[in-house]
Order: sequence, then structure tokens, then C-alpha cells
Amino acid sequence: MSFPSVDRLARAQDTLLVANDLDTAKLQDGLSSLWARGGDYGDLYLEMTTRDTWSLERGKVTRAAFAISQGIGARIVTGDKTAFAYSSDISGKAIDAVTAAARAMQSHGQDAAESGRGVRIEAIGQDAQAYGIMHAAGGMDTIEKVAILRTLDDLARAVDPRITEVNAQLAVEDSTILVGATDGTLAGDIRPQIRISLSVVAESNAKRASGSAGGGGRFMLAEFGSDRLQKLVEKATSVALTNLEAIPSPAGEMTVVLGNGFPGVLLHEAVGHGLEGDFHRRQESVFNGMIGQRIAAPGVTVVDDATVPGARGSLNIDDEGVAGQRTVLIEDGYLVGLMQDKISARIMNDKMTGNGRRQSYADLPMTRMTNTFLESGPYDPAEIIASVKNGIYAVEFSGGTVDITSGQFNFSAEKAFLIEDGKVTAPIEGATLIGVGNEALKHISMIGNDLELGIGFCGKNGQTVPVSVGQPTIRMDHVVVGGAGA
Amino acid sequence: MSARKHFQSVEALDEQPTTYLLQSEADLADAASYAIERSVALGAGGAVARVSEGGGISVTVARGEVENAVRDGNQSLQITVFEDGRTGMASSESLSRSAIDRVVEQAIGMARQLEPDPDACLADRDLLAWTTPEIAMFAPTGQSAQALTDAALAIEHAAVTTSTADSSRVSEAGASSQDMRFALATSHGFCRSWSSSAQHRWCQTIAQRGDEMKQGSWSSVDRQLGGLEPEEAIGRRAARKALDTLGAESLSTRRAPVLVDAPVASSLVRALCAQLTGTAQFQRMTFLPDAQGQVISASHLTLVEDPFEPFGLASAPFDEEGVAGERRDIVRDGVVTGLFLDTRMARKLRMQSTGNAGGMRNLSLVSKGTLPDDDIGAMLRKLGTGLWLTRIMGGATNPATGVYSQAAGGFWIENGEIVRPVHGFTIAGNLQEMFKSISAVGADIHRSGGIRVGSLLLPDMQIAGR
Repeated sequence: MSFPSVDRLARAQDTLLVANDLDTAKLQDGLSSLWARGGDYGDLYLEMTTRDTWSLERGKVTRAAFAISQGIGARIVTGDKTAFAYSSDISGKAIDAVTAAARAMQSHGQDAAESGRGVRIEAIGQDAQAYGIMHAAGGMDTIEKVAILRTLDDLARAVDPRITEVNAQLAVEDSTILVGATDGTLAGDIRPQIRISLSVVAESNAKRASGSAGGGGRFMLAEFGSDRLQKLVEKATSVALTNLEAIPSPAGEMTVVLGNGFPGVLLHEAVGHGLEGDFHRRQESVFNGMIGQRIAAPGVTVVDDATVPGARGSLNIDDEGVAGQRTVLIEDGYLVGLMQDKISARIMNDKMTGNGRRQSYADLPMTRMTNTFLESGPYDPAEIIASVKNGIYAVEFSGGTVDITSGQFNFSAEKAFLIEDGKVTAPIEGATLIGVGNEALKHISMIGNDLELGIGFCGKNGQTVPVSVGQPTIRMDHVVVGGAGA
Repeated sequence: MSARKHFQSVEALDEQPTTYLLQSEADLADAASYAIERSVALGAGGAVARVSEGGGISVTVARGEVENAVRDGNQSLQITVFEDGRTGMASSESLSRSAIDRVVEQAIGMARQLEPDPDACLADRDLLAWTTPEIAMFAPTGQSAQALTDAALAIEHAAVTTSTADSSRVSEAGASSQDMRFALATSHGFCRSWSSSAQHRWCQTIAQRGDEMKQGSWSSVDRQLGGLEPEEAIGRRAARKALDTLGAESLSTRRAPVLVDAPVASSLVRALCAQLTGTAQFQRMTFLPDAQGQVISASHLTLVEDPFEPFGLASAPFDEEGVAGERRDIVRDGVVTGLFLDTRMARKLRMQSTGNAGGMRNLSLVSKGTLPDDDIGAMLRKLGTGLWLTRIMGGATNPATGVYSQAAGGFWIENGEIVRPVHGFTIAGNLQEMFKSISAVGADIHRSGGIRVGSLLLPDMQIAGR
């Protein structure tokens, strides 16, 4: 019987080992020598990623770029000390060089005698099966890629004559990774990733406004059909056109209705980062020691789910060879779980959740989110808006940040309106929402039934990884909104 | 923080310690030249090859022990080919001849399938940096992991021993030393290279009072080891940043004058410069289209760009297209006198490249009104009663409209004296008015990356809180 995880591993071994005159035995030798001078854990991570990017500007596709990135990272962990080195060469010589360099970085005081601990690695069992083995381009050639960008340009310009600029980009990425670890792990993954992004400028009476939208995930380009393209166009153009009419956002404390999809970035910032195991291990999170406590209103259930089929943040296995999984973080308002990587899980004596991720072979793994979202509730979105006497309706956001130690977060609305007497009225600009993570979720008073995911990039300690965020429409009370209006 | 004078240490150049790099400038130049030869041989109309190598050691410590010790070493080659206005780019992390052959073919293959942009082409031959002088930027330390660990531990020690009634701990203290080389060749026959170094020390702290936790951080960056702030000062400063904000209260919604602390003020300089890039000007995604000759700020302000500052953090003898920049005014007496242009954007705007392909160089915002003793104390007295803004957490600026809104933190000041730390509010305004309203610039100059600026006094901002 053959598991998909076995096929993926075989493919990864072909691409990263066989093609470079390497084999599993050489990987085992490298791991044995990696922790020969001591250490609790070590791993070797091999990666090859290719990416091509096509750009449309002023109606023409005039620029394209191709990049290939490959290499090996070697890590030794002793307690919570990590030594790390990497090489952009994949060869037997490179394995020897990076293991030697990592050992040289190992802090002094280790037993200098080579203890010769052997390592035997074996394929892990099932992985998350969140996406299949495929090439992201799926056989689509240049002409078809260019045609997608042209379609976006045509559709956007057709929306309204006030749309004066359209820029679009299409990126197709294929990544093959292989992890061998001293705990016996051997796992591989073939990760497709496509991303289509669009930005437009609208101009009227010398006022200019911009709007953008992006979509994609771990699926084939051909699956990005015309309905999906149309949706990107609608979003980007509506943001720009709405902002042409926008008045300065009011400032002060108020009730806010957040739209579904990307506004879930609030959860990502307000609680997601604060529930990453490495921050807990170092006692830096505002949520430290709150497991089991009520941190959100009843009905609030937040999960991190790497198994969503084809989603941008999905992972068959994480970058430490642990199967991707669904982890409930908040259940009906109670904090029930943390996300963990191998190192933090071991030190905290918690279970691994498949959240160990790294930007590339040249970066160290950390606890990272995958697809993080708030589950749907009972309310019709229209009912939620109608329930607000005066407040704002924030439909789209450009992003946000959090200080995980104090819990203070902020995020910026890209498209928002006033709500007056239960009705959506004037568009507003420059609304920045701020709050404290462990308080804000207690103020969620209504949860919609329209959960949707949005795509994003998540940055932490200088490393960027693809993620999804998401939520249904929600009502949140007592939010501080900053803006230049009175 | 005091203004740090840069100095050219001739002694340091005479006897150079070992670099972390494995290749010489000549090795990188060879790889770049080979990529150009291949491109020309395959019929490319024009080509630019950029090759870089970086290497170093980075160590972080916490609780008196090493947390991460990383040996960095990376290299890459990027080729850009122009085929009658069609631009193909490809990059590789291998510099082997076969890898270069492959990326050159890839770039040319891609370019041929595109549509032409008549303004996409090689830089103007006359603008290339054929003769500009070398700039001193290379100061390798060859510091070992042990030496860097000792530096990081000294920083941590200074932070945790900065005692008050509240506890202070270090979430991460770090030290790194990195070297880098860069070579650029073009199908004009241009080929030059340079090397640089960067020393970095940093500290992130957490101060605690009961359940309340606050973060603080401080860092020092210089190309030369001797230019870094002392370890003790970095640790103490990072601890104070966190300790001083314990007990912060919210601010109620109001209008007030704001003094933007010098380390934070660089973000406003960046927002100003973002209006003046070729892309912003060409796409008119700016509140100041056709900026050249227009008023952008208060008339006492001048912004200077200097690509050639010895050991400057944003120095470069030439840009990513081989074009030489020059020391020039970007804003003089409040009026825009220069833009940041690469070749393509310059052609689109019917102007000349300013040598800014790949970014802005060292920038310095100065005011005619600044007196030598306008230190932070003097600036707080000028503020009188208002907000001393010491932290911007995030938010949005809309370049097209100038709408500015940021989550922030700092101290409430009355009659020039600190009353209490404040947080949980936003500041908002419009950049168009904010730049023009700047009423004073402090002599407390801080360098953040390539930007030098003192604290900035904004007489009237909207604050939103509880």
C-alpha cells in the first residue's frame, strides 16, 4: 500500500538527493557527525525552489524574472541553544562543510570527544494531504500566463473609466524540501504556490486613490479561473473607487463591524502571534500562563489549520518533518492550545503541532502560523450591521502589527464606511484600529455565518512565510479607531 | 543619543583582519563578466550582471547563555537582459559556469516572449561610474563566535543590571559581524566591484511590574567596530526603553503638538522621500505629482543625499545599473530639487537617472533653525505641553492622498517635563500639511540606516484614544 506521503518523499529524494549524487546513507552520516560533539537534536534541511514572476504595467507584460534557490541548512540544538550553518550548494562536500560549520558554532563547553552516535532515519507515516504532487504552472506556457494578466487588465479597465492605472503580477513557485533529523525523521514535500496580485489607481477631479487585491494558494494555475480573476478585480477597483469619495475617519472609541475574509488579520495579530510556542517558552507573550482561561467572548473559536485543501498556508508537513494539522487555539472563548515547533514543544513538554516553519534553508525554523481563522457563528452579516446604531464597517484591511509582550495590536482599514442608524453610509479613509489582544476578543459580540479565508504574508524576526487569515463578519465593541477626522 | 561623527580609520585599512568571505572581488567580477559574455554571445541587445557574496557570524544570547549561533554565507548572481525593451531577469545561487549558462538562457528565453517597453534599456553610457572614486566601506573584523558571544553577554549584563524597583530581563541580546562584496558588469564593457562590512549590536528587553509587561529595544550599527556604541550603553538604553514605559496610560482623544523622537523621525523622512521616487511620480501615486520645483516642506528644511560618505550605511560608488550618483540636495529650503530615479523611470519622466536604481543613499534632513544646544531637553521645552512620540507601532500612510494614521506610544509632557508614559492611542494627520508644519528640528541627530535626522516638532496633530 502506498501513501501519498511516500510518493512525495520519493520525489523529494529524486530532486534533492539522487540528482546531486547523494543518498539517504549520506544524510544519515551527516546527521551522525552533526551531533557528534553533543546536542539533543539536529537536522539537515534540503531545499530547491524555483519561482517565475510576470509583471504587467500599463497594459503590457514587459518584464519577467526567474529565480532558483537551493541549498542545505544544518542545525544542532542543545537545550534551547541552537547552532546553525547553511550552504547554497547541495553535494556531499556541502553536507560535510555545513555540519562542520554548525559544530564550530556550537558553544564552547561541549564534550569535545567525538561520541559517534549513529542516526537511523525512516519515512514518517501519513502527512496532511492538503495538496497533491503537481507543478504550480500545471503545463501552462508563457502565452497563457500573459493572457491571465491581460484579462485582469481588461476586466479592471472595463469596471469604470476612472480606473487609470492597472498593475498586475503573477508568481508561480515550486518548492521541494527534504528533512532528515536525529530523532529519526525522514520526510519530504512538494509545495506548489501561486499568487496573482493586482493594484489599480482611480483618478477623478485630481483626487487619486489606489486599491489592491491578491489571491492564490497551493494549487495549479489553471484552477485560477475567470470567476476568481473577476473577484480580484472587483475587490481592487472597489477599494480605489470607494476611496475617491472617502472622508477622514472619525477618531475615538466605537463599535466596529469587521468584514469577512482578510480582516481576520486582526486575529492573526491580536492573538495568533501571542499563541506561538516559542514566545511562551521565553515567557514573552501576554497570554503566558492563561491556558484554560476565558480570553474571548462565548462563541469565539479560533483554529490554526494546515490541512485546508489548497490554501496558501497549508502544509503536508512542516519544515521540521511533522505532519501539518488542525490545532484549536481558542474554543468557545477559552484558551485551549498553543502552536508548537519541535524545540519549543520539547522544552515545554507540550505536543508538536506541525507549526515549525522557515523562510528558506538559510533561515532557522520558528513557531509560525499556517491558516488561522475564526469559525463561523449564527448571524446573518446584514443583521450584524443593522444592530449598530453608530460605528464603522471595516471591509478591507491592508495589514497590521502586534507587540506580543504588551498585547497591543494595530491594523489599518483600506476600505471602510460609517454606520449610522444601522445603515452603511459614507466611505472613510485613514482608519487605524488599535487594542490589546487579551481584551479585544472579549468584546466580540456577534459572529456572522460567512467565514472566508484571505491570503497574506507573515513576517517574524525578519522571516516571511505565506499564510492565510480568515473570519466571518463580526461585531466588536469598544474599539479605539484612529483617524484625522473629528 | 548623541550625533555620531563618522571617521575614516586609515589604520584599520592597513592591516586588515581576515574576512568571512571566500571569494575575492576579482572572482565575483569574473562571474559577472562571464554572464555578460554569454548574454552577448546569445544575442542579447543589452545585459547587466550583478554578483554578490555575503558572509559573517551572528550570535544571540539570553539568560547568560548562547541561544542561536549562526554562520552566514551566501552568494547570488542576477542577470538582466534587454531585448528591444523586453526585460528578462534570472538569478541563481550557484556561480558555476553551467549555472550561469542556464540563467542567461532563461533570461533571454523569457525576454523574447514579452512585449516591448521602449524605456526599458541599459543605463546611459555617459552616466556610468567609470571614474568615481572608491569609497571606504570595508572593515572586516574576523571576530569569532566567542568574541561576538562576549559582546552580546556584556550587552545583556548591562541591561539586566539596570535596576529599578521593577524587573528587567533580556529576551534577546545579539552581536553580528558581516562582510559583503558586490560586482557589476554591463554589456557596455563596464565592470566594477566593491566590498563592505557591517557590525551590528542589539538588545530587546522586557520590563515587568506585576502582570504588566513592556518591551524595549536598542541597537547600534556601523561599518566599523570602532563606530559602535559601547555595549554597556546599548544594554542600559534597551532596558530604560522598557522600564520607562511601565505604567503607561491611555490618552483621551484630543489635538496636541507632537515631538517626534529622532529614532522615530526617520520614518517621516522615508514617507517624504517616498513621494519623490520615479515610480510614485510616474504613476502619480503621490500627493505631489510633478514634484520638481514644488514646495513639499517648511522652508527652513533641506534634505541632502550623499552616496559617497565614507563608511556610510547607504553608500555606494555606483547603483545597481552602474550609474554614479552625486552629493546633492533633494529638498532645498522646502522646495523639491531632486528625485530618486533609475534609468527606466527617468526615461519615462523625460529626465536623467540619478543613480538610485536599488534605492536611496545616505540622507540627512537639516533645518536652518537648529541651534547646537537644541538637545532633547531643549526640544521638550519647545514642545511645552504635548506628546513626545517615542514609538510608532504600525499603521497606514496613503501616498496618493497623504492620509497618515499610526498606532503610537510615548510620554505626555507638560511645560517641558515628563508627566507619564502613554500608550493605546493613534496619531493622525495629512503628510502634505505635516511636512509643511514642521516647526523645529533638534540637534539630537540619530542615524537609522542611511537616514540622519533630529527630533521633529509638529505643532498640531490628531490623537485618538479612549
